[in-house]
Amino acid sequence: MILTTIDQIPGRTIIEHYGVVTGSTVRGKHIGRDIFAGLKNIIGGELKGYTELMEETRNEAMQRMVAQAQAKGANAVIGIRFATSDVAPGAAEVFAYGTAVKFG
Amino acid sequence: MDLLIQIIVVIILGLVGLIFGTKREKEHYEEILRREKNILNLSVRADQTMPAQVKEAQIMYGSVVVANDYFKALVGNLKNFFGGRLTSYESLMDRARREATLRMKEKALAWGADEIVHYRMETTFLDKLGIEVFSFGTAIKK
Repeated sequence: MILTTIDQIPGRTIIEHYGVVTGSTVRGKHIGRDIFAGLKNIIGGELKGYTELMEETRNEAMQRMVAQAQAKGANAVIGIRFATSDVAPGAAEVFAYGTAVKFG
Repeated sequence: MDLLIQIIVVIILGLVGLIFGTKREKEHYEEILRREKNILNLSVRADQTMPAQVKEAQIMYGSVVVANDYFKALVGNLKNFFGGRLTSYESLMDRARREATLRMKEKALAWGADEIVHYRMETTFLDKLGIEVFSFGTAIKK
C-alpha cells in the first residue's frame, strides 16, 4: 500500500478513485509513562513516554485508515492529512484521512 | 507554616529546573546541530513539484512531545502576566520543530530517499501531556 501526502503517485497512473478514507483512535497515558513525565516537567525537554504514546496513536489511526482503503479495493492512499486534539486531559485523539485510489 | 513549605518547594523545584534544564537544553542544541550537519544534503521542500523521473514515493513523518522545565515555566507564567514575548517558550518550540524535522529526515534517509516534498509541520497543545510537534512529507526515490 503506497501512502503519500501529495495528490498523485509519482511514476504511476491513477485509474480509480474510491473516495475519502479515515481512521482515528483515542489513547490515554498510563501510570508508568505518567510518573516519568511528571519528573520531566521539572527538568524539561522531551517527554519520551508521550512521544511514544502519540506515535502509537498515530500509527493506529493510519492503520485503520489503510484498512478502510483496502476494504474498498484500493492499493494506495494519497493526500493524507492528520488532525490531533486532546479530547480529555491526559488523552489525545489522532484522526488520519486521505483519498483511496487504485494505480495501474 | 504551610505557605513557607510551599515557597521552599517552589524554590527547590525552580533550582532543579534551572540547573538541569539549562544543561539539557544546551546538550540538546549541540546534538541537534550535529545531526543537522550530517543531513544537509537531503533536500526538503514544501511544494509538490516532482523531478522528471521518480521511482517510488512514501509518506515520512517525525514527532516529538516537549515541555518546559519548572523554572522556565515559572518565569513564563510571570512574564505572561505582563504580556510580551515568552522567549523561554520560543526556544522550546524551536528545539521541538528542529527535532521533529530531523526525525522525519532520518527516517527518510533510512528508507533511501533522495528528496522530501510537500513538507508540513503541525503543532498541537495536549492538555497535561505537553506540546507535540509533528512534521511530515512525502519522500521520493529518484
